Amino acid sequence: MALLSGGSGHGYELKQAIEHEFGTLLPELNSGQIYSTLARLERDGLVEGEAVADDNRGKKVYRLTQKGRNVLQDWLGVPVPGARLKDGFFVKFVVATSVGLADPTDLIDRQRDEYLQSLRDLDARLASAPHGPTAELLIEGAVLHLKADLEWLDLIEERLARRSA
Amino acid sequence: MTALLEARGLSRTYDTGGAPVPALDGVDLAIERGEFVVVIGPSGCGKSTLLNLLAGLDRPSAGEVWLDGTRVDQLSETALARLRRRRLGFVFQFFNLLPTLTASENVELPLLLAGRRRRQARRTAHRMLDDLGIGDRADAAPSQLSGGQQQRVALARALANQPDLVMGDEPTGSLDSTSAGEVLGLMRAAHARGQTLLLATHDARVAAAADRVVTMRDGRVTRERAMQPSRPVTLPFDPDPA
Amino acid sequence: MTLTLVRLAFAGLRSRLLATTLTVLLAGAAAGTLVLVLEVRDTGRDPWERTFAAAHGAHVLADLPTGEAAEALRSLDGVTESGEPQPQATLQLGTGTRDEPLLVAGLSGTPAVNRPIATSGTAEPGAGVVLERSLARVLGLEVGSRVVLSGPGGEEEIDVVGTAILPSQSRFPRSNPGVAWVERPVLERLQPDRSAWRWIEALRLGAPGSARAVADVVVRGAPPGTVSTATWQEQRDLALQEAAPLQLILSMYTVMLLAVVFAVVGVLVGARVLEQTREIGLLKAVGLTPRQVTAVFVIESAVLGLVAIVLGYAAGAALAPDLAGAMAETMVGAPTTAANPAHLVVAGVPVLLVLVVSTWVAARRRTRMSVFNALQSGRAMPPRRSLLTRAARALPVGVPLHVGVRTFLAGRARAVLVTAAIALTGSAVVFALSMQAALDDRPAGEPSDVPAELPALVYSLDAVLLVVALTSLVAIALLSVRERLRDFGILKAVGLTPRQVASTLVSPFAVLAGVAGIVSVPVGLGLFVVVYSVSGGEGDPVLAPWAWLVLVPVGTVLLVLLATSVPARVATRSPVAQALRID
Repeated sequence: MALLSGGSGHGYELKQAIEHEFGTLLPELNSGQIYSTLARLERDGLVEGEAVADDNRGKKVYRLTQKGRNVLQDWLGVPVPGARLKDGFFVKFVVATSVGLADPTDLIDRQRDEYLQSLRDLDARLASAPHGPTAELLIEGAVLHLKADLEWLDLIEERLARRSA
Repeated sequence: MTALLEARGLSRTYDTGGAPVPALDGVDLAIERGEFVVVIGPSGCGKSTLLNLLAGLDRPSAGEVWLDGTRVDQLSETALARLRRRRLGFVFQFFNLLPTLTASENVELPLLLAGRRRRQARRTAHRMLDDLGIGDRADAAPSQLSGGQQQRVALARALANQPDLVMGDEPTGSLDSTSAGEVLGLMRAAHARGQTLLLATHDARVAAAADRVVTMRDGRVTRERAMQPSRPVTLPFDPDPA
Repeated sequence: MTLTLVRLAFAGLRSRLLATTLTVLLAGAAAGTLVLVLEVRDTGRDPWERTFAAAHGAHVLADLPTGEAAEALRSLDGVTESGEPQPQATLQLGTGTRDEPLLVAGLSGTPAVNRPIATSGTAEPGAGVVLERSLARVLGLEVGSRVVLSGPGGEEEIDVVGTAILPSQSRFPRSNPGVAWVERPVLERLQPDRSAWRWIEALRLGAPGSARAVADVVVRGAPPGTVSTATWQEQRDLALQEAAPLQLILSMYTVMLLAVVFAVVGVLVGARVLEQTREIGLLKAVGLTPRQVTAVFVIESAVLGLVAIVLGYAAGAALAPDLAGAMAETMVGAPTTAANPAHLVVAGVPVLLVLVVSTWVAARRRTRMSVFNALQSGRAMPPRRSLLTRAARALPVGVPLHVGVRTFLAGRARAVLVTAAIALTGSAVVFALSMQAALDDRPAGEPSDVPAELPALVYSLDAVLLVVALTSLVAIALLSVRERLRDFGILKAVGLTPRQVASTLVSPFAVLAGVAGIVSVPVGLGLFVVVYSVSGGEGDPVLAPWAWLVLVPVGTVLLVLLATSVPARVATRSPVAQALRID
């Protein structure tokens, strides 16, 4: 819908734009998925299609409706929820330590190694391959998240030590 | 091949009037030429003490420090000073530039001590400041420079005599994240040119840049781990199409 | 609010013992010297008055050519008492090693007015001679010495039977020729020619204030040039004039001491303010105005000043009698035992003023700035364009000196004040050297008109100044070390040896000392010339020889090196790791 907000377009054009902008973020969509999504949007009244007069294959040109615009705005207006209470490592940690499956310090160390390594990878990426300013922001964001995660690991380790002391 | 710098059973205990405080307790560490080693650990773990002992800025209560096959922990202050000026460079968290000298003069200091002539020292200092991107601030006083700039001057000073080893105690500790990144980049560039580095830090990013990460806790080394070469990173999408 | 300020001031005092003690020492020395000046001046007067009373002194003393003219004066208007005319002639006194012309008076009985007062032996010559006390002292004669008196009528061996003082006679050889007394027959024998005699007439008046008028009458009543007179005021002033060089020198030293106090207190307060920049910032954040913050420092200095003044007064009052007694050689007895309490105030005011103004100036500048600026100004570089800085950069000197000098330049006020203090002390030494050279220059055997106590006084005052200056230097150097602990850590980390680190502290001091030492030579010489001429010295003043003068800058540098060597050692011992953590 965001793509359509810029103007109207064919389903085919949309597919191309999606591939171009988002690349491998999404699995390769086939035309069928595009059209069925468009049909659903049309049924919900968020887009509307117009048949092109001189095209006998029945291709439609799609356009965003007002209702569609409103929905789009709402999506933009609501901030992404902040508190992230889901973490793969934490699950592993809680499960393993409660049942005694693994040594907690060991787990933490190995996770830390992985985080540090990822940091290294990100820094290397920043230093080597070309990237634009937006990509840099994305990578720096990942770096900061990693630093926070590493701090969290330190905290967990410290609390563990305190509890056993 | 002997290690460039080696600590053997290094200990340091402080007598603060009450019970003696063991800041360092039997640490063994070896730094090879060309390595980039980082020591991490919570505050009070002894990493600063370790660095001070290795640099000869403090004397161990027990243990030995070896530099390139020569034992150095029992040298006189004067001999240590002479050793330091040629073979070691040091970068501090709070920059520690002499406030009454310009940036260039701060960098010239180790060069002059090593016996270079004044004019030559000045040229070298200017060139180094250029390499680090602050050539235009060579005649500024430290008080007129930002934190990142000051640390770059400090780095230039540490690198001035092309020392065998550059040590840093929380070199990015007083810098904002952008400056920290810049300084880290400069240090990595020096490493890429062959400079051996030993840093103590809280900053995970600095740790991630190292070849080897040494973890300390309560005055002891708890873990040592070599970092793997970096793996490629693919972005989920390309937000800046070429 | 005032109470808070006072409390803050006292809190500051306790925490810096060294600076506090030094300030009290300095101010006390200055106060003590001032008190000495005042006491000595005062005690000059009293003994003369006493001598005059004991001698039943003459309000008008006349020196006439004939006995008849002298006799005639006894019936002048206003004269209540008078003595017999006293004959006086010039004779030679031979001691065996030297001959000295004397004015010898022939006594017939004890004079009614202006009697000599015996200070040893007897004032009645009998068969012998009574010498004036300072004359006897200079010639090395005492009761029982045998001398030869000679005149146109012959010569006689005669015994000294006593020494005496007279209010109308001031110290020999300043008052030349000296006087002695013999019985009249002796005079007649040695100088039979009466026309060569002078006649002394001593008059006492009902209205002593009219002495000048009466003296004028005497002079007018005689052919011009034949009569000379001395009123009692003139006699007193002449006697007290001796004290003039002493007082001048004391005053000079007082001014020097006050100047040194000003300089050193300025440095101490400046350093203190720098150290407490953070506290000052807090005070200002809490709501004190810069003026009030300055007031805290001023109050502290004032309190110290009051303590110092009391101590200095006690010291000065204790020393004054000895000094004044030395001066009162021609006068009776011990000076007043009770020191004048008014001097406490008179001495106290200048010292307090110097302390307060110096503190105010030093503190005001810093407290006026924002905290940020204050931090900068204490440690910042001087402007690059400054000639001194450029010179310092260009000098081909070793690293330690270069670093040290740049640090000193950053605190230029302090460097100037320290140099001034050293220069003042040096010039006092030069002054003493010149004085000694002048004394040494006199041909052997010739009596010196400089009181014997003068050199001792000058040397003692020099010693005081030296102690003060050296103590200040040590304190200031220690302060510098405390301020620069972090710098020393950095220098050690960069690779300066302990000796080089010490040198960064010591060498700039040595340079300053050299400059100050060289400056002190012309200043000291100038002072000596001024004092010499004001005290009525004749001819060109003898200056200290070059060989001695060269020692002054050299000695200054050596002493300064010595004084700063202990703080320098402290500098090298500072633990590096700790120093480098100081933010």
